[in-house]
Amino acid sequence: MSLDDIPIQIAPPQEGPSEMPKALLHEVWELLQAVCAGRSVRERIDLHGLPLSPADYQQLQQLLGRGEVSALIEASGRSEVFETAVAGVWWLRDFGADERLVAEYLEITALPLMLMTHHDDLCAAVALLQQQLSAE
Amino acid sequence: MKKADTLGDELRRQGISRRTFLKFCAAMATSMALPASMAPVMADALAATRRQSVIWLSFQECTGCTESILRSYAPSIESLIFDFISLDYHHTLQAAAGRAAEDARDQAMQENWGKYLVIVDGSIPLKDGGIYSTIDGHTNLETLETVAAGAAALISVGTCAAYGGLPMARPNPTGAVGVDEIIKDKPVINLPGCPPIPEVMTGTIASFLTFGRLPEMDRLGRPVAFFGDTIHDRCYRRPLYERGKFARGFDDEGARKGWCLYALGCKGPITYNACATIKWNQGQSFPIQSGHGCLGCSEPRFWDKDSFYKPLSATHWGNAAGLAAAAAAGAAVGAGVAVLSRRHQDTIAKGE
Repeated sequence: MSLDDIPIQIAPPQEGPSEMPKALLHEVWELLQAVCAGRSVRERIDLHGLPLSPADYQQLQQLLGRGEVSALIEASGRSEVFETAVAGVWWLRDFGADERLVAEYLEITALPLMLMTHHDDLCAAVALLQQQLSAE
Repeated sequence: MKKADTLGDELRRQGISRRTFLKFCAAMATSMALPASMAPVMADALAATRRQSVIWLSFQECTGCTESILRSYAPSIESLIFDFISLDYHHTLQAAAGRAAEDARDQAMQENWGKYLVIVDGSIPLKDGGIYSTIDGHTNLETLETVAAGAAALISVGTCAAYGGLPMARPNPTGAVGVDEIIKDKPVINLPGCPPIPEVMTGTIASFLTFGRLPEMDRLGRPVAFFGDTIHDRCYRRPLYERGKFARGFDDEGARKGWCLYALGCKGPITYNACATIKWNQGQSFPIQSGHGCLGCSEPRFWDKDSFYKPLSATHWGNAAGLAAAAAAGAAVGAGVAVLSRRHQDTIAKGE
């Protein structure tokens, strides 16, 4: 028996998107403006915690579109990153090792932190490579 | 790990990159309703900390809280919390036993005096000198007072440690109380629930690790981030309550259609917790979504608040007339119940 076999019907959600996607787009525009003017390097909008209906979600995806870059990251579970058609607006989804969506957010920046190698990791790599070279 | 190493250094050696910290913190920020821009700040702070010594004390309890935080399914991003702490003492989980176990606790206390975090599950019996629960010849009260003396803060996990829970249910034969009835000179935060939601526990610990202090609390000592709203406030069936659509039996048409469970005794309107948003079992569901009303397990004295299956209107607000009015008046009464739930919280909590 699966969950679908339980004869409970959830009340149908409101048809069509709400005003939320357009409100979000205004917020994105303001943050993008701040990054463009150099008042900020990086901004984020948490999508996971917002009460977006499936229709809202779909409309937000349509409004932002898909851009030129997409990437998959494996760090204690999968993460998906893509730049939207609005340059500098990135859409990120983090999954746990159990494949559950644990975070979803927009990052407004030139390059998302998840794609950058942290300086500490880079320095640790220097030591690791040195070790390997010494062993040869 | 060398004492001077940061958490970032140690985990990097284990192959855990800063990206993993970022993911963990993004998940924590989401669950705690923190601004998304806090996640990178949290990740930097967490990477720069030392591994936190944690002493877990189990008193009058059923181990359900430990089961909840450990969980039995596939490892999740939240379970990384176990890489961020040094769990120096835990009856159920530690390999050591007997004297060796107690020595491990003493050693952790000595080495981290004033800095370690104490997590307590279970209530503390005070009647007859506290003889109803002892460990290594010491009453739970003695152990708690001794260990708390060197703690930076205490976290009471579960309704038993927070408010006395099931052992405190009438007639409370052991004189059980919660931690904050005893410890008055240290910060104590309550994470009630029977058991508490795993993400609430990991989120609170992560918050302490990254900010160096316990998060903002409500008047019952609970983190506002997780206990700021009632189950009813955030329930997906709330619109059906507003429309007066109630299930009146577990097998009637209303139940099959997923209508509001208020008439079947749901305690959602007076229960503050995050079940309706974070949910359980990897975000799969929560009791109301599975067709059963909320029992109110994160509220003080929930065991003594009459039948789980009596509607709130019949138990606390006089009679079933309130329910009939709710069905008729819909939204107005819905708002009224929300106000009443907050106003009468203290009265209801005392089981009066």
